[in-house]
Amino acid sequence: MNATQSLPPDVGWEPIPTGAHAAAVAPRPGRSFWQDVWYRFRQKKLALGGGACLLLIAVLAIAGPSLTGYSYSAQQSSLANVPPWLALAKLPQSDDLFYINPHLKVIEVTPDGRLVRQVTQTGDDMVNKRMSFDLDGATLYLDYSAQPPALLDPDGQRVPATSHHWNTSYLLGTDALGRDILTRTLYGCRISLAVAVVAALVNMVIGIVYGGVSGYAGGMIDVSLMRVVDIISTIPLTLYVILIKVVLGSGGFLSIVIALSSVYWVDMARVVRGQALSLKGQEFVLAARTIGAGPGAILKRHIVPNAMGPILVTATMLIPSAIFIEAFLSFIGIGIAPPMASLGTMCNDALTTLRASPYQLLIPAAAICVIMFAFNFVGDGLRDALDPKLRQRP
Amino acid sequence: MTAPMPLLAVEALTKHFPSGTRDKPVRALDGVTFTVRRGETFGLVGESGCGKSTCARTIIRLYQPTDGRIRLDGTDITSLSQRQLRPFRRRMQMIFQDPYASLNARMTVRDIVAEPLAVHESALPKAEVTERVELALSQVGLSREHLLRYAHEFSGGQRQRIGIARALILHPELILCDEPISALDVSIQAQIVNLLRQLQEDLDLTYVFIAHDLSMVRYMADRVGVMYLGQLVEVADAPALYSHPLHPYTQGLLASVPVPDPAADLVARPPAIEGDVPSPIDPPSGCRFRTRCPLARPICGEASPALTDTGDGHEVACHLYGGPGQSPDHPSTTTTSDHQNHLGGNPT
Ligand SMILES: Nc1ncnc2c1ncn2[C@@H]1O[C@H](COP(=O)(O)OP(=O)(O)OP(=O)(O)O)[C@@H](O)[C@H]1O
Ligand SMILES: [Mg+2]
Repeated sequence: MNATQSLPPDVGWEPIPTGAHAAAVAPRPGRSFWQDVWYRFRQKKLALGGGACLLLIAVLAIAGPSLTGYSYSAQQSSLANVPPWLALAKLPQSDDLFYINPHLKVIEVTPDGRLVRQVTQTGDDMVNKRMSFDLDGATLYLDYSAQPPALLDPDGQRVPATSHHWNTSYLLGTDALGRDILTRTLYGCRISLAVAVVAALVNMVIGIVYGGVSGYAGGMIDVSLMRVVDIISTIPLTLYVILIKVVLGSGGFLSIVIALSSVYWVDMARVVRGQALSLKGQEFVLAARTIGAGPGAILKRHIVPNAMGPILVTATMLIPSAIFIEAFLSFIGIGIAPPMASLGTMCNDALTTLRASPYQLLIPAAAICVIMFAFNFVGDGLRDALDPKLRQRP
Repeated sequence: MTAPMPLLAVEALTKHFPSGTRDKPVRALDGVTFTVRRGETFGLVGESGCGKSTCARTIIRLYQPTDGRIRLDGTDITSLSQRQLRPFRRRMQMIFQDPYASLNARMTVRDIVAEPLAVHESALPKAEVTERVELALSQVGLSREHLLRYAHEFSGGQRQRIGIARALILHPELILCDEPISALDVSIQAQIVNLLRQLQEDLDLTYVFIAHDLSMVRYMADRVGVMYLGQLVEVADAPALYSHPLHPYTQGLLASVPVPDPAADLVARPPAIEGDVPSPIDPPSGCRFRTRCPLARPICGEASPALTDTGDGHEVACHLYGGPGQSPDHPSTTTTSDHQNHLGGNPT
């Protein structure tokens, strides 16, 4: 203390007031590992964006279908194959506009983009390549002798579709059966997210417990448990789904859920086993054993929390791949059964009208991409946040 | 012995690990016998890999012994099940070598120190747990402001204190210290040694104190056992061991202790031991030290010398003492200086 007072005045240091020290040593919670992770994760704009995107998709998928006003299965065949972006033709005899769909159906559209009805066709003159329609008693002609087909005004002149408007009745258009694509996409996202949740649960519960027990127990238990894992992982998931479909007699969502829950945890089990093997020799685990803690307590308190990094990284890679597996199985026809909308079945449905209505494929495909990208960005961000040493990328 | 019952008695303790490649096991610990009296500090010294950690971990039953007996306060705990062992675990704790690896990075100091209570006194109300943790922390020189911090926020010395607090919280009688200071800075080492001595005085603790060189146990141990390749080669009271070591290995170890005063080093000292430690998978026949012993004789390769008392509880396992051709009343001090001359005369 005397030393502080005898400092030369030009040093510029002053003794701290006595109260300041007490404030500085007041108990404060330390920054935990997870606070560190969250801090680093926040720095990753892409990962945050991915997370926000997933959140948005989840909210839309859960609440959305009841807001669109359509059911995923209700068909409106008179308004089939209408895209989201309409090229409209204006005729002098009507206030409304007209949209010609790829199958030469003429649809009446209000100036603000609402679909009114399909105009009734009365005849088709194949020689002149001209169709006639009945518009409130008057006859309307559609000339398809040249591309693109166009309506004819009362003078017989082709009226090009010049004005454009967004389809406000069906924001993302309708499919070949006249079902609302927006509603169906949201339902598809719902199924994708449900698959993600199932995959996550299965991995987090069965995978962690199985792998943890195997790795921590070691010896013969480990060997036999891992042989089971080897056997399970040699059989492709597709085969399980087909077999379960046969056994259940029906297929759909349930068979995918059962297939995922029975076999989709093996990768996680392997990762957790490896972690448990390396962690169980660490001194803090030995310390817990010298204290007398049982295997369950050690797994719960020491092994799993310390393996959480690799577990989360594995989970964020397994979840998007589960989503893709569901979409793929549905696409090839052994997944979600027809009236239900899965992004995979929607893609498949769109194939028949792909040339005329590519949006029917693009929309569900884009949804799959966005979901998988979002999960992958979150996973990348999580991995970097969990292990800062891995961050040194060029 | 007619002395009071030792707190810890280890008899012919043996631990073999399966060695991955060959049928032969790793003989990490081969017939180690010693006793630790209540209240004393037993130092266990030896080069890296000689089986010190294995010895401590086998005593505390982290490893199942291959052979031999462990008695804690007269009770044979060698083959008790983990469940039967629990009451004994309270009486016997361990402090680990690596202060970074021995604390779970995902737990707060409070949870780390309270873990023994969670296992043994799970019914304890939360407030009382915190109280006990605070007491244990204050015993090791930490305060309640550290309670909610995580281990990575502490220095090595502080971490080792947390580890000590965890070992103390159940009021054990015996603490196995597995190189508790060798991972620390020299300045911190003295603090931890002083803390351990203070705790021993205050709490009547008994220590088995492991170190890899003799200087570290000098100020701690009442008795010292010197290990080589899984076996004890010499056990003696600390003053006797430092003043007249009998086994050539002990002499070599003492020679390798750095001397604070460089001038003292100029005085003729026996050279440090040369060569590498043989593999514990294939230990040399007879005396295991013979491959590096400057005094090795033919008999050393034939028979394994037993640990024998040369008087005053100074035990040594070496054919130079009590072997054939050796007079039983041969004064050990003379023998020692003899050897030192021998060693000193060795060119290098
Ligand atoms: N779990 C194990 N499995 C196989 N071999 C082991 C195992 N633990 C130790 N060993 C072997 O036993 C021998 C003694 O090891 P131990 O850890 O007891 O040495 P130590 O004296 O504590 O050394 P250090 O001073 O480096 O800590 C070494 O050869 C080591 O390789
Ligand atoms: Mg060791």
